[in-house]
Amino acid sequence: MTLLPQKKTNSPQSEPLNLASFDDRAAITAHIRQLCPYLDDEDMTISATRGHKNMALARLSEIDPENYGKTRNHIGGKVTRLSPYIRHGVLSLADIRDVIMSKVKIRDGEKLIQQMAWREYWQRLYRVNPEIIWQDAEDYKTGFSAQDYADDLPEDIAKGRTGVSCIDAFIGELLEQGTMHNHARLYVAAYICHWRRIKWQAGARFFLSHLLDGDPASNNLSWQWVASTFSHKPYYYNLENVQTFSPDTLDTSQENNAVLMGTYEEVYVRLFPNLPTPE
Amino acid sequence: MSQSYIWLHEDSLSLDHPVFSHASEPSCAVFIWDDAYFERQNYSLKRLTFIYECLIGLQERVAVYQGDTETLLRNICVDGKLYVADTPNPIFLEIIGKIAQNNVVEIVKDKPFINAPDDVDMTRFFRFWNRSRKSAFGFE
Ligand SMILES: Cc1cc2nc3c(=O)[nH]c(=O)nc-3n(C[C@H](O)[C@H](O)[C@H](O)COP(=O)(O)OP(=O)(O)OC[C@H]3O[C@@H](n4cnc5c(N)ncnc54)[C@H](O)[C@@H]3O)c2cc1C
Repeated sequence: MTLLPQKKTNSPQSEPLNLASFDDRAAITAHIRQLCPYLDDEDMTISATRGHKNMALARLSEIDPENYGKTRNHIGGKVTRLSPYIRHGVLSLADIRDVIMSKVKIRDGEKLIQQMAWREYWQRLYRVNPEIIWQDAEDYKTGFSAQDYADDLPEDIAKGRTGVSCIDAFIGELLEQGTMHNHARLYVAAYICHWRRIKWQAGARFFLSHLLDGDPASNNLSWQWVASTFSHKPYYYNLENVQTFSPDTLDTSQENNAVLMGTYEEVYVRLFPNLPTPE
Repeated sequence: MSQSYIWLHEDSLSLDHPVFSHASEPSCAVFIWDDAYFERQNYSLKRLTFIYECLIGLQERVAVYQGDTETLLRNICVDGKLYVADTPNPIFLEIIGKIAQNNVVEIVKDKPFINAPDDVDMTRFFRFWNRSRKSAFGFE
């Protein structure tokens, strides 16, 4: 570890930290608890995804841009799982782009590079206008106003015990692993905003606390997009859609996910009773 | 030549960031483990573990200090230029602004992914994408 010249540092905490060994996760978490006394005793889980450039490079070597384009919307599809490394700058978008371009033809790499551009887009908006990270960018287009939404996240959601089986499974993965597929993020965010009528800010805060890739711009602006405060209309779905994009191992049975059931029109009328019925 | 300093923060945990090649030598790189900042962000143990493990991989080049970011940066770079990896984070930008009142500070951008024209319409993603697509493929 690089030592600073003694004369230049005079604060009480001027000694660099001795970090625990990468192979000893118990020592790592013990050290973190000592460094961050604010952590709750109940906050005990750590993810199987590990921070380190070598881990990032291993995932980068496995990317499959061609199949990405075909399967990315499926939970269990060929997504890269690079987001925590990108979020913390371990890998740059430019380097990943160069790897994609060296592997496949432009046509086959386009979808993945376009998705990466979403990150760049959100980052640029964040830089120009940091206020929109926590403020509604526009009004809700749900037939409700911001006052109609609850401020706080209820306990059942925070613990992944809503009783809606697929939502609980997605939240469970967030709490255990700090990860969630993009489609699952859309489902959970819409459930919180539209089925439970809770302010998107409460959900965004919850995600940022747990997602390893938690990023103020990508996360909060995506939440605003779902809520309709940064899009023309609210995002919603039905159980059939979850069934189409989920693996068989996920419980998407009607009896355990009843609130999500119905045609798109039926769900719309239920969620947005003040809006005109769609044609 | 006098010593220069590099502040690596949570948005740029890589030794490949151009801030390293850009900083004049000899340079001393630091990361500040600012628990008050992490608490403000409400980071769970999982998130902190991920960041900590990234830091383990950097420690041959980056010294990790615990404490208040602004105070420590002031103490550390009393007489040298400070190089900072670019960030959109307003909390970090505010700290950089304060340090810059007394020190020479230079912000160094990461390798560019997209070169969008200055007048690009940012109101919707596809307007941005249509004008920056070529550069995203590395053609500009
Ligand atoms: C409600 C909600 C919250 C989200 N919160 C975050 C967040 O905190 N941090 C975050 O990085 N992404 C967030 N996303 C975007 C997206 O879900 C994740 O980037 C993606 O699921 C990460 O998995 P991956 O690395 O396998 O992505 P891939 O699909 O393999 O994509 C490769 C990379 O491109 C970028 N990317 C892809 N899609 C998006 C997108 N829609 N928006 C921004 N960047 C994208 C990411 O850096 C990602 O790692 C959120 C989306 C929603 C709907």
